[in-house]
Amino acid sequence: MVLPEPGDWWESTLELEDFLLTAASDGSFTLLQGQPAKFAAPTHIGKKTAANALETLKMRYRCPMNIVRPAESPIFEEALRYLMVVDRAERVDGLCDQLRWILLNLVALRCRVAPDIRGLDVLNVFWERQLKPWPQTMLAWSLLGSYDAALGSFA
Amino acid sequence: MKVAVISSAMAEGARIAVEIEKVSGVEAWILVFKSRNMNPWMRLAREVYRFITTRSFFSAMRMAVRGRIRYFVKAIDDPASIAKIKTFNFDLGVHSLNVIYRRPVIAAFGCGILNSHIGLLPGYRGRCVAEWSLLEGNPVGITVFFIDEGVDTGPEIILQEKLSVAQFDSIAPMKAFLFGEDARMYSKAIGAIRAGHSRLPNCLSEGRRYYPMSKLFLNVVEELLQSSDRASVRKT
Repeated sequence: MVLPEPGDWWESTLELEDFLLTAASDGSFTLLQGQPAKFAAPTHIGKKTAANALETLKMRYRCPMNIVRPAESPIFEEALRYLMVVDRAERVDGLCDQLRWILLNLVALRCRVAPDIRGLDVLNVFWERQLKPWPQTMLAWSLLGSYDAALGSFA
Repeated sequence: MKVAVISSAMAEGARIAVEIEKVSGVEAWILVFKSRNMNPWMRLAREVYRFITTRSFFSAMRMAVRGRIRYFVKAIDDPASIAKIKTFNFDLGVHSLNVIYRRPVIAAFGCGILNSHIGLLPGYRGRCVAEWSLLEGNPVGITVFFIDEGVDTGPEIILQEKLSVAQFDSIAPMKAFLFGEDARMYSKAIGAIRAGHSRLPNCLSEGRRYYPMSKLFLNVVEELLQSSDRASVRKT
């Protein structure tokens, strides 16, 4: 996987979900140098702010590889917190379901490039809880591929 | 120094109160709150069980005779509970209740509330930190610090100790041992506070927040504890 310089903001010709699926399958995607994101990362994601957070994340990470930039650490930490505290504790609806998958995919992508054992374990937890009884959505399939790649980065 | 042990069970509170009263000049109290919705019979059964397992029945009775146990019907962050706590003018609170404290509750205890955390701060914040320490090949230990509203983010560390867990071959007894050290650690910490010992900063940038571990990694930690080559465990 060849990445542009860390200081750059990256863009892709693919949409978020297509990018995730491509990255998970063979990794043959093209990154272009782009302009910094216009949308700030959500600093705190809660059940009540899930809808806003989902929209912001989709716009900010249209090219999801940007999650691997060192400056994106706070959103990575917030993703771990949301997934392991809020999402685990509360009953989720369809909207939160989508938010969860996007966050899991972002965590998996970041772990492929910047291995973090906590991120890998979040994927382990969701594998044990939800992925094992067969994923239903395309985002889940892309996560499976990225999870596999993230596991490989720790080998 | 008037110190309140904040607990959800009288037996637990008594176990800690007895230990901290060994520090000269300390007057220990026990404040019992309900930590979650539990029916009264379940609560009574739990108290009896805790009395048996902690062998603290007579200690609790001694505290009761001296009038140093208070039961609260409402939760600790209820304004009525906070107002009542303030009337006692406690210098210090000692945490033994499964809650995150809000600012008004912390402020109701003169110096604040101490927490005995089964991990070495600032490195290991959050949950399952003993397991994470072992998995990452780092020492296991306990840190006593002044809590704030966050998760193990309180700014002042009173003391910490690395502890050997080489004698354990499973996670459950290891954690029971670490949690059981809280009374001794609180006692030492209160002694250090009274002696005016210097405190360490809890630099958040030097550590990370951890979360409950997956079954996969828990199995790895179990195997690490059981393995004959326990270099990382013995390091402590």
